[in-house]
Amino acid sequence: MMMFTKPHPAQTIRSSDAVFEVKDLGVAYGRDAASVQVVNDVSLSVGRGEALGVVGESGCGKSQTMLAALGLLPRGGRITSGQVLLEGRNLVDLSPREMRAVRGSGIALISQDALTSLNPAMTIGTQMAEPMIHYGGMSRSAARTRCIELLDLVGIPGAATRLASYPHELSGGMRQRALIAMAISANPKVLIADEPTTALDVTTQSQILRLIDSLRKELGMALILITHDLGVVAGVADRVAVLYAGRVVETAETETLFASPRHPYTKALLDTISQLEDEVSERLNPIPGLPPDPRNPVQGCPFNPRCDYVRDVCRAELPALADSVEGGRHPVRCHVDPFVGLSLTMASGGAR
Amino acid sequence: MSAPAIQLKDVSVRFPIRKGILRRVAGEVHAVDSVSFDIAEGETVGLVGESGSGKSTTGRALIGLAPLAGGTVECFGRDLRALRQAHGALPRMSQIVFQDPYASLNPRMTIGETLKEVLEVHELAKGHDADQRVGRLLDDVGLRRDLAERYPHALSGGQRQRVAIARALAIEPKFIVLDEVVSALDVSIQGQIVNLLQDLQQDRGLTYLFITHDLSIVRHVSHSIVVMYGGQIMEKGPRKSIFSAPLHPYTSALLSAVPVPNPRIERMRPRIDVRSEPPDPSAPLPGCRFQKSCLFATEICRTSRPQLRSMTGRDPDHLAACHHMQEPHVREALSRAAQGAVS
Repeated sequence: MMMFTKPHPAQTIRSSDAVFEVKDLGVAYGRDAASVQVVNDVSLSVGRGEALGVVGESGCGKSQTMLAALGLLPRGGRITSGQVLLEGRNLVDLSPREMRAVRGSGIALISQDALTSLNPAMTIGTQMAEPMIHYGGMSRSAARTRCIELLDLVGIPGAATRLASYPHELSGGMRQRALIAMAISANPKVLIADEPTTALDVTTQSQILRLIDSLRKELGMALILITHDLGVVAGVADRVAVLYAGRVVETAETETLFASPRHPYTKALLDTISQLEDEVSERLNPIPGLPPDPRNPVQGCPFNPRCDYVRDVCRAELPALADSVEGGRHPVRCHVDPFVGLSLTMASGGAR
Repeated sequence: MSAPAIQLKDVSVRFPIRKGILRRVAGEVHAVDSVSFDIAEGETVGLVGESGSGKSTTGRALIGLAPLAGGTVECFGRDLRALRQAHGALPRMSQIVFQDPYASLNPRMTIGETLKEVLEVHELAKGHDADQRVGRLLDDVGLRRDLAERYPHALSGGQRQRVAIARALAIEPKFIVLDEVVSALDVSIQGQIVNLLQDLQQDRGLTYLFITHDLSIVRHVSHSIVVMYGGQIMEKGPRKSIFSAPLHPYTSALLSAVPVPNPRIERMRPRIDVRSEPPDPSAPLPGCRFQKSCLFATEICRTSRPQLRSMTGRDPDHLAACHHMQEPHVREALSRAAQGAVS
């Protein structure tokens, strides 16, 4: 009886929908006095078949969060707090051996630079088949068939002959496609794409983005798309999380975020891109200054030295990630909100 | 209008392909093939194309870093090849800034030493005088003077790129080739560097060739645009008319590939696709270089190379090399894609 009458808090319902969740994650480098906190209280979640965009400048902690989630933090880095949940199972305490079993079939990563991610001394076919044979227990011929199938799926023409190619024989776009084929080879539940198109030409970039997006829909994977370019998330992500100085500063559905950004940093990022389309004579109005150095954390809100809307309280206290007006769908980490949210929306003419 | 600052006429650059242990020349890469355009003094030409289009090689040829296989380059009314023969080196009027400020600065020299070296090599200043000049150069690019003591690794990407710009300015050039100078930087920092470059241009009347694959930046900084593909010019003209009404299918494909920072438009707009891989520069096909990737290619595109021409009823300075650009079905497809990209 109790089971039926007990009210479900909204939070629990959402987390049971999520395939993959990062909860209050903290990442630091170094020990004791020399310790530098690069990720603070980051919480993200993504549902089955959903695409989450994670946006921020270099050094904002977006890649560190994902490396921590995959158990791939470089030497010296450690998780200081929080959980990483894949279908409800906490990955933080897994042994390296258990974690290896999760990577690939649970979570897979597509990294930015396909040339350095691929082994230059192995053919595409050999490096694709290796995990299938060693972890998947496939026979060589079954692995070969599967490789051809995957290369076809990612749009590499002449897949059977390409298996014998070395990475340097492929163009940048083709290498990125091969990397995507490897990432999806064990049917991961979550695909993390870390700046998958940054090193590519603009025409190739749009093809790769559409490929990743169609694979997500076809294979029902959850997708986390990490980028510094808001234009890239506009076409793919269902929701967006904006990171600044190792913290989430705003999350919202993609359309809401673009139409009515509530954090001054998000607003400034959006302005920077749209200004670029203006006339030659006009001066750009970029975000002044630099992102903070994690070794010298800023007192109060980390964005306050660069913020147009700064007040005294911003220099004293770190704002909480909260949503007071949109019922939890659009949390923002800002003291001045929702006042800023409203005036920003009006200033940009309602919908952008 | 006065004579252009920089004038390229039928410029070609070829690189030998060497094979075997004797390194015999087995063929040639046609990196740049009969490229002609002008840059007016104090203005910026945006040179756009994808990797392998020959855009960087063109920029290098302009400052004597790539050998000309044909054609002429005139810099402020003087022929580059003649200058080189007469002086053994090019006079101090042009400079280049590269994409990657991590690779283009010596990691073992401080910023001050890097800048001072330029002044000393060119015998512009020595000793205390040189230190003063270094300080002023850092002021010019908006860096604090105490950064002179630092090494490149202690600087951010944006600061490093400012140092690279200061180094180019050290010899007081009139013309600077900017080769993907903001591509490696964060969007928020790109704006700062673009502003700096535009201020310097206004203060000193600098002439720029801005090489990039990023159309949104080029739109903001350029007076006119040159679009290259497979070593040849596909389209060139004033910025406004290229962006509002591209004539060439490749330009249109480039424009429709740029993500629009608006989810509603981005998900709905029509696209012009580039179908295959870029052409092999060591075995150029007869006809149009873009034929294999073009949605509108027909027999004539495989046999004859289209010449750059203007379109009837349009800006006569806006030229494109396409056999089919006048045809209604091509025009309609391109203008539909262009509308999606601008709105």
